[in-house]
Amino acid sequence: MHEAADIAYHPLPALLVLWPLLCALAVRPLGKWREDVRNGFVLFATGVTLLGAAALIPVLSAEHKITAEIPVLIGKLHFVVDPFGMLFALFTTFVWFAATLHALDYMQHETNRDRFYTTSLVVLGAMLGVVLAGDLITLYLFFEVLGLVAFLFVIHTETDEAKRASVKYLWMTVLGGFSLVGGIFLTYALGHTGAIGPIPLEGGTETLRWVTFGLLVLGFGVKAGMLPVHVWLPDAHPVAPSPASALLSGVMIKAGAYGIFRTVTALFRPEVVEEVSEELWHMTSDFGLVVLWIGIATMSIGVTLALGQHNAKRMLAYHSVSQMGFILVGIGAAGYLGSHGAMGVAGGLLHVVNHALFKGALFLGIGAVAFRTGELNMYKLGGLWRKMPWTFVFMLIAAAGITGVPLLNGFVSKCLIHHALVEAYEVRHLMSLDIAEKIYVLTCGGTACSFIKLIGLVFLGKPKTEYGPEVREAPPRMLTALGLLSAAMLVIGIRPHIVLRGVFAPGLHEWALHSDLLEYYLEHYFLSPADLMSVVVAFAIGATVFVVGMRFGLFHLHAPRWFGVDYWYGVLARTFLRVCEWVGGWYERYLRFASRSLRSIRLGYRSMYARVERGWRRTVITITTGAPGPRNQHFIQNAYIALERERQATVRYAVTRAHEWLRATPDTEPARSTATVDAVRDIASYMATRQMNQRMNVLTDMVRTGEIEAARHSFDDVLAEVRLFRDGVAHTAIELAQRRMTGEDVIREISAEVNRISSEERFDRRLRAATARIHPAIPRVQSIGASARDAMPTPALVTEWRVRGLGRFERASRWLVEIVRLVVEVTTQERSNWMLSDRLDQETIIEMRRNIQRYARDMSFNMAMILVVLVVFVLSIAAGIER
Amino acid sequence: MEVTDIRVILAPAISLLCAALVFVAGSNKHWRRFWMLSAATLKLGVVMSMLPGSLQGTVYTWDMIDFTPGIGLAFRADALGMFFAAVSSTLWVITTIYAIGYMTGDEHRVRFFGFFALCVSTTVGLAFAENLLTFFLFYEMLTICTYPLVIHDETPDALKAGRKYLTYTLIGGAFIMVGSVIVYDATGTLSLGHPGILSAELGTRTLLLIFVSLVGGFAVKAAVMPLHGWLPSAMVAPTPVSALLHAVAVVKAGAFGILRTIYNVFGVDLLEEIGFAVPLMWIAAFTILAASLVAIFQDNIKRRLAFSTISQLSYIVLGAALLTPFAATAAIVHIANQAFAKITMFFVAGAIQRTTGKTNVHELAGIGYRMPWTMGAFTVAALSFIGMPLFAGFITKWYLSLGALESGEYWVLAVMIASAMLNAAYFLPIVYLAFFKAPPGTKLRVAEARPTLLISTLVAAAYVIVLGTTAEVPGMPFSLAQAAVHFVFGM
Repeated sequence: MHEAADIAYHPLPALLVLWPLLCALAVRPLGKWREDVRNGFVLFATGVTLLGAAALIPVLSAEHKITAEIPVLIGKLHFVVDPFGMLFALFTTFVWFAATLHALDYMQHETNRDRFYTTSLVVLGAMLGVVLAGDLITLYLFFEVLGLVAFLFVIHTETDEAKRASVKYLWMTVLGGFSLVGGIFLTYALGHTGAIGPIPLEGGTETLRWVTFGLLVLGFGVKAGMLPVHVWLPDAHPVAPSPASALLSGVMIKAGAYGIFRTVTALFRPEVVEEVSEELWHMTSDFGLVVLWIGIATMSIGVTLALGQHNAKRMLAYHSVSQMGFILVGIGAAGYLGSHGAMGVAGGLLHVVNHALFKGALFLGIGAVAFRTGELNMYKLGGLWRKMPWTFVFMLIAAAGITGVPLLNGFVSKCLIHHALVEAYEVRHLMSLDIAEKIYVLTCGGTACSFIKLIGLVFLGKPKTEYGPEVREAPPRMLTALGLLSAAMLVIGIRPHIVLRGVFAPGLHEWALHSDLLEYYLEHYFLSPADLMSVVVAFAIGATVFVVGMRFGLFHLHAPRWFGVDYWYGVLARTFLRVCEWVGGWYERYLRFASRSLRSIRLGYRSMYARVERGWRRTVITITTGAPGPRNQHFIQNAYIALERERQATVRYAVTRAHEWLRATPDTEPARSTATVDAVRDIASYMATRQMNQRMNVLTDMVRTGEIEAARHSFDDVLAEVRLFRDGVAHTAIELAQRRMTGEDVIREISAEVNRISSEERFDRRLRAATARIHPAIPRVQSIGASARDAMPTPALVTEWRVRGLGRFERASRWLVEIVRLVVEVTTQERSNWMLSDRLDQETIIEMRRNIQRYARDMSFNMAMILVVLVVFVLSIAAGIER
Repeated sequence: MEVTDIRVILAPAISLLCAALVFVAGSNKHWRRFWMLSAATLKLGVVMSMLPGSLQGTVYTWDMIDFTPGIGLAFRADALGMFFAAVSSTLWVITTIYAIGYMTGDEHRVRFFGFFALCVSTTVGLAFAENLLTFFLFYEMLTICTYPLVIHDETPDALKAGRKYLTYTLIGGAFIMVGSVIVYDATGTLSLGHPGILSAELGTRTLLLIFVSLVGGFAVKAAVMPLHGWLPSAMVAPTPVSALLHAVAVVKAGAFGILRTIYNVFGVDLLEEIGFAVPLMWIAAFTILAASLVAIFQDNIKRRLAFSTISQLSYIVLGAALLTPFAATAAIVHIANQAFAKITMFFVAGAIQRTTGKTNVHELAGIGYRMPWTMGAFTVAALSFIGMPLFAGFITKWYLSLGALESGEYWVLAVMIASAMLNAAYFLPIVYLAFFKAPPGTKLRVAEARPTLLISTLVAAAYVIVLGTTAEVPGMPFSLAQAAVHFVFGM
């Protein structure tokens, strides 16, 4: 780019950026301490920044271009200030100062004031960082900080509307930021440098340049409120507090304009030297034309939408979109005209400054109105000029400025842009540019109409409602702020020479553009009859539209929602979310599939393992006991489960009967009936358990004697037969329960009943009989096991002994009996709470018990093996000794 | 310049000693804390004392045992290893403080802290491994040492996750061993001290076999899709463990292994020639996007972070696979950048869980009013992942994009931008919920996490900013990464 020689090093730009950021740190502590000190401090900080920016003027007039660095990030943050950057810094700090002054009063009726002022200072620093940035990284950094921190401005009031607007704002900002960073990367790829200067023409293909340009313009355009990515702006600007709206609309969107300006006139242009052949400009002019047309679309659509608004701030926000269109037209024309683009540059940038001034003033003025009346709907206000004369005067000046009344600032810049447009048409006589020029004039008319409407509805006419005493002139500090801005507007309007000669001439010279055009304009065209005429035309159009519109209510017409680009963004976002959901669902399906296949592998492995294990177990069993064979074992297991089920069914049956019985017996108190049911359950479960154990013993014995081979077929039938005995159990249980309730010891009766039922039942005989029915050829001998079972001291027997007073015997075998009792108890679980296990998974419990038995058997086998090994060991040692 | 220096094994040995002390004499909580903290700082000191020398190009080595001539335990602290070691020992200090605060009142604390120290010991050992065998040894030890941490709660879920974790990583480990054996068979050396030990003469089939088994093995821990299944389910572990798994030890071991494979086993030139890196690049890009898409709809905070980790890790893989100096820089510095940002997020998730008991995103509405500092730290980390300048993540994105442009792979740029967008899509809603969605009608008071949790979170967040702003300052880890890149690319 430039030789290093003509850039002088100066720390001022870096200080200018850092100062507000540092001050922001102090806001919160000061605000916690005393509000007025904080207010003073914020004003002081902003004022110092303004003075610092003003101090750039003498420095820059001496040096043309200065640079500064802060060592941070990848390398350093570079700041380079040329006259254009200085211009941006100046108006930024100026409007900021005015808005801060205004905010001191306005913010009194808002909350979170500390946050507001902190945000304000941080954003100020970031804004200065953007416009003073010397390379794209620095620019990007501050651009992102600006965008993300300004989020706090938008959401400040934290109403639902503000939240919706801020979310939209955030997403647009973030997406714009990504587009921008993509563009910056590609710029690096094209030029191998991040400097804000011409990208060498030889790097990269045509397509790549277009993509780069597109990404950059889109990234900056989001912030600038450019069509079609302006949708956040009309939502976000009105919901912020008025000073913040002034800053958002007046200053911050200029960061985007600044970016587009630099993209068109600094990045995509030929080398900065005095004589450049015109062919090298062709790409710049292509890009310029694109920007120009975006500008035309933005300005016309913006103004059309503004006409339909009721909310004053929303209308102003749409005007910001429209006015950004003017700026883009200026910048586009500058690009299109290449080295002769001075008029476009000057028009566009002057309009940037002007828009900051009058849009700032308009928002602050409307803020003052809202501050006093609390109303923003234009159609509900009116006649305020009596109540707020000074506000009215300043608003009138600002409105005159934006509509381009001569001797005010808007007039100059609009004329410059218009001239640039005409000039652009004359280069190649493109029909389209002729149309663009017509649209431009129409848009000026629309603007005029809007502001006739604003002033007319809000300040003139008759009040729609009776104003209370609180509606009076705005506080002095607000008026001062408005006055400052109005004064600046007048100065630029009357003497544009100061800016044009003082800033634009050296600036254009710096970028090797022909600056003599400006001089020519000032001498021949400034306030010329032709230009004045065009203002008259615009106002004529505006007045006509206003009258017609008010008469026929055209301002209340609204296009259907699908007509707006906003709607389609919504559709796009929802589609994206749906795609995400779809991917998520797909992922879940994948996970399920993977885990299912893994599980089937695992299960396959397990069943194989189990099969092997079963084989091994069978072998072990065969070796140790020889019986029962695997078939019998299986049968025993099933029978066990069936008997267990029968046992539980019996208990349940008894409980049901108990309930029935209680229902049949009237006048039972609830506590008593619960106790009865519990008692029945206890007794029934004890009995059923005993019953089950006996049946199980019968089966085991038959297995041992081999009879079961036949009995297995009849087991189910027998089981169905013995179901009859449930009734007996239930009956006994209910009867005994009543007795127990009276405090009687019924344990002996229970045992007796069990024995009675068992002897009635004769499970073994039934089995044999059934077997005999099926296999009459297999009458088998009774097992010894049965007699052994009878010989076992059952708990009942033990109790009997105790009763009979077999003292000596009892003492001698106390511990043995105790152990036997324990074992019997544990294995039969007669005292355990069956209700608990009912709640548990019954299959699991049964399974568990079986496992314990199996484990015990395996352990015994292992012990036997160890014994055998030991014996063999000892024998072999003994044999060794002998030898 | 190579110097034999005991500090190379001192660093892992300190953690090892610490682990032993915790196991043996750790039942008293004060002593245990003392051991943990002093070992962490001591080790950080030892590693940092090697930093100046390492920055000047000195490589510290220490040969321990040779099993057979040429194969043995040997350590070598080159720039890449130093980078990894510096990151993990810094994070160890922070995580220890956090863990002490987090685990207060938990059970099995001796086991927890003992294995915690062991993990870090093996991580540093891994960083300094001179040859594939040493590397493999520590890699497997790491797997085994993290298992008790994953199943710490001993709930059925935790046990299941632990089993899954072991299955995945041990199978991955087996592949690495196979790869190492083939490398040794082909070249007669396992050294990692050269910019590439293989040559094209081995034939494509052998090379492919080595590439697939080594990179595939490491990719399990680096959670490259579709080998990432263990990571989201390992979320059941206590938060410091998740933080450690995600940020420092396990996943980074995998990523580091991939870097070693690409830079020190194959070498950039050879890979460029045979072109195996291209599919890897595509897989990494796919992982970046797919994991992010999945993350958007996760409601559990830690699970969302887990998918974010999967996505972020593939930045490293992508950077390595691009085979350009800029991309390599990005890959190496991302080890640190992702580590600090992700550990911040996990700390925040843990602090929220311990303070308020909330574990899901939708419950976080208004949490920013209760825990402003904690959520501030989260915001910093989120912005870092999105790639905001001034935060660590930006450095990665920047260099990765430059690297992509350098190699002419423009599509990577689109992946970067899309990924940044997706990151925004799943992190910013959390920030928004926390700060702007206060449940109406309730007055929320500030009730921060306990100091140990808060301070370590803030320190980690501060690191994110420091790494993002001071990349060019001499003596920062970034210069180590550049030194490593210079060595790898022979510049």
